[in-house]
Amino acid sequence: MIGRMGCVLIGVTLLLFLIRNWVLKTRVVREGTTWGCGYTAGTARQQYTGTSYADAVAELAEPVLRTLKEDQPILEEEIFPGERKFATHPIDIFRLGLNRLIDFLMLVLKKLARLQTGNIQHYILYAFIFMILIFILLTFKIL
Amino acid sequence: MIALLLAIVTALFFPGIIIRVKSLVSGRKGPGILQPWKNILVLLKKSSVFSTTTSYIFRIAPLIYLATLICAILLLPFPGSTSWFSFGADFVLLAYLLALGKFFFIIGALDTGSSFEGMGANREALYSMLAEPAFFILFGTLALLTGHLSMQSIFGQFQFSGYNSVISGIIAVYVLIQIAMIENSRMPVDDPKTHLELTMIHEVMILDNSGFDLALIHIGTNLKFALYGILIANILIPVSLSFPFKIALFFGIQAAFAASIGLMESFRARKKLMKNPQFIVTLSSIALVGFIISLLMMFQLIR
Repeated sequence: MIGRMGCVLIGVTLLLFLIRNWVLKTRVVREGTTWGCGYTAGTARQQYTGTSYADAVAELAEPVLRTLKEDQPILEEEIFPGERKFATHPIDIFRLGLNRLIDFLMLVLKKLARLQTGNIQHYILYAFIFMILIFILLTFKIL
Repeated sequence: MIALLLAIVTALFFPGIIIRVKSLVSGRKGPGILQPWKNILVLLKKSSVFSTTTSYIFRIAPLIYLATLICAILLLPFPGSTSWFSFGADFVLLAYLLALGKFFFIIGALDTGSSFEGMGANREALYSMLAEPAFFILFGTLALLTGHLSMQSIFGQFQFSGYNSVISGIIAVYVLIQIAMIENSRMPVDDPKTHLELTMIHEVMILDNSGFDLALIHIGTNLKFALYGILIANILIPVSLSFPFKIALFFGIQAAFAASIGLMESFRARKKLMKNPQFIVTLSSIALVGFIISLLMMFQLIR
């Protein structure tokens, strides 16, 4: 049924296309600049970008995206502001979460790394403490 | 097929009634009911101007926009009669036919390279995206109440009588009117009378369309109102009535729908752009409340 509706859609579009072509044959079709509300010197650089287009949705998704803005504000004493750069970067919050977890693990591992002194006596001491620990656990039947 | 014929007749009078009601409320006589169509006829006779920035996308967008609306209307039933196309969950196809038309409308606007039209496209896409859940929740509620999935069966079974159906029906009509207002870029989310590009939504997207193409877009907008009008009529008109009475009731509902839009636009101010998303999301919440009420009553969890 959806396929049939697809065919109908294509058919209706083609019919409208033929009607328009037939009508416009007798008319003068002109070309001009895009409507600019009086400003006609627009270039491709001034086009609406993908980021601008998605701005409204990005604003709603702000807790997930957490867009960072790199901006240099124009100061009051700057009558003729100089060249400026503006950039936005959305943050990947999952990467941010992962980074935090890795940072925490690194901190724990760094603290544990203090045990690795390189001194053989210390390592024998660790083995001794471990055996004492096993002995205590078995004696009090904790294990 | 009858739905398409009725939609065309409705679309002929719908915009005229809105304008006439607005004129009368503001103390003016106003133009004739057919004035919007006279304007469309003038546009159809005009020559076209295309921007040099645009490609074929811009030229086919109005055609596809209108074609999707015609196809969407073919899916609609008239109370008690069959629709041209009917199958399980056809309301999903209805929603996505409208979405396809809107998609081409949006890329057509972006194709002009104008920042103004980009802004309009951005807003229109956002509002449609936010209104979509309300539409699906609403149809989910109706499907739950009737136990059917195709629009023809849903509306065939749905009776606007009984405690549960009346509550669901009122919620459905309210949500459909508001979705129609949003989808047609009317008050309170957009103002068709506005003359400032920065605050426009729909109007700014069609700034570069002229002549025949602009006429097609206006025809499409009128048909879209008729489409929502048919959906509302399907909820309100009892299937058991005789055919002539149903037709009379149908046009009565369409006139009341158009008059209510005229009245709403006369007494309601446009919302701030920033507040529109919240307003549209509220519609989904209302639809969800309707769904939960129906769910509770269907399974007799509350009596």
